[in-house]
Amino acid sequence: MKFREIFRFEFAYQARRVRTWIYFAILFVVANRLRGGGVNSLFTAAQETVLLGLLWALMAPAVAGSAAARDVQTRMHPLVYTAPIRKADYLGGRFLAAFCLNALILLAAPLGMLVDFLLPGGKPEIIGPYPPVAYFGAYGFLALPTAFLFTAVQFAFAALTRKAVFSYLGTVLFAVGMRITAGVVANVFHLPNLDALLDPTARMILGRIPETTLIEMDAVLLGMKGSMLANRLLWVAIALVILAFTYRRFRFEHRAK
Amino acid sequence: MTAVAALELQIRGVSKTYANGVHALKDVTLTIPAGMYGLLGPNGAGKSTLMRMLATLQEPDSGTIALGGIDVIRQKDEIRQTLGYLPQEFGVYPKVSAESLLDHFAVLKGILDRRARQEVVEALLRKTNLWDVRRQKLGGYSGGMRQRFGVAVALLGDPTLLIVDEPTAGLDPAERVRFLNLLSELGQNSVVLLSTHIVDDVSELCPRMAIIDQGEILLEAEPLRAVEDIQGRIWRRVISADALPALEREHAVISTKLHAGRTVARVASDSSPGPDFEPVEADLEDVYFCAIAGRIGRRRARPASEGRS
Repeated sequence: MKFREIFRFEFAYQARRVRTWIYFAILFVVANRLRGGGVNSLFTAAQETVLLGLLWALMAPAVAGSAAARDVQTRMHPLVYTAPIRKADYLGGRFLAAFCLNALILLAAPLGMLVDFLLPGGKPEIIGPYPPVAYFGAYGFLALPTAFLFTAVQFAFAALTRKAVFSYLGTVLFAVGMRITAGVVANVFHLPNLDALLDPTARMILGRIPETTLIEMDAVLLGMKGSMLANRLLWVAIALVILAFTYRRFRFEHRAK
Repeated sequence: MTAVAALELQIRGVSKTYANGVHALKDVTLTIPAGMYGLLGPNGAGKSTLMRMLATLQEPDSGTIALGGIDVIRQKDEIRQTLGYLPQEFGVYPKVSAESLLDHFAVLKGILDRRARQEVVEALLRKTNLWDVRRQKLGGYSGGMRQRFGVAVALLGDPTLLIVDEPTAGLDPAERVRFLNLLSELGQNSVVLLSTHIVDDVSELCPRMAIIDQGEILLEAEPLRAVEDIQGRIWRRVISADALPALEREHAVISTKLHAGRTVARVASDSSPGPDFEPVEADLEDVYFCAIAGRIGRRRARPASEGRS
């Protein structure tokens, strides 16, 4: 019950903010304009979704940052921290609200891609041979796991430093840090596939799908198997580790300046 | 836990040193019964540190704190079930109404039934005189209104331990009176600890009090009795400002006030300090300054006649 209330209050608070809908609008417009309003294969939709995910990660860390650090930044934390709530309810409710808000914002990606088709008079050829719902696969498999990971990173940085602005820094540090780590690991162990696995956005895996025609590539994507599946599962697992670490380190306490 | 007559907050040997070397609390021992209790001391005396410890936000380096059978330091969850805390300094979310934020806090405090919660929220908003502005965003509230909102949050769930840290500091006189009335209405079943640097807050409200300075408890007393104890030992003399250093060398000056361009010095002395002095009616402020100046209480150089150890 307290978990639900913490989730509900946070979600409603940010859903009423203009900022949230500005992020949504920007993603929607960019998604729509990226290919002139058309997508002709699942593969291009996937590529665009990855790009839009990166744009989101750099644009919207404030959602997770404010869910994690607003109490301290508004100095309301002495009132909240002395309430009889469990750390799991507090952090869990806030994180889940941030993730759901981000999932909502990212929904602008498939909607922006498909809007020209979905509107009356839309031409069927712009989305290729698949039903529109297939394009939400890229949202589910690419956008959501990436959003889960980056929301966790942003939330962790903001919650543990108690400053929302560190969610931006966390995004950049994490992305750059992982690129370097992946490059080093792949070179040292001579495992070129490893650096694609260690790419949190799955962009490199898309780039290495060997099939030559878009239809064949789509078939690979629809299967959602092999290194793509491994990549997604790996990063969701890493996100969970980051959240567990945040839970362990976080304290309802006064911190001397 | 049921509220029993013996409800008592026991602070035993609590010390705290900050990383920067500030010795915020030195071996503080206090026994605080149910009812209003005043913790009086100048700014920087360690009051807020002690209040935060009682409110489970900070831990002492050593010592114990217990409320009834609950260990405040180790059983934070249990204490929070029954705690109300009004911090010296706090903010609120700007973009939400008082009513909806108070409702949110009511859930966090465990008032889960919707109807019960509506009743509690309405009663507290009326009590704190915020009912008419309950739909206004908190970002537009004045300092006094925000303070009253904090009181409403602190009173949610009828706490048996209410920690109120410097509540009157930012209030105008009318708000201050209203706030003090609110506090005095609280039942005798709760321990209400009020920290302040304003002597009148204590003399108007608290049947028991302690004076703290530089992290040390200087005096534990009942305000009325403490004033009685120094009655007849406080003297007043009006001098010019440049005569003050000489007066301070010869007499135990406990406080000075400027009045119409002249300095009014108050001196503590068992017998008349001289023909230029007139006896005055002692008040709690004299008790406070006597304790700070070491004329009474633990700071007194001679073995304390208060009989406490």
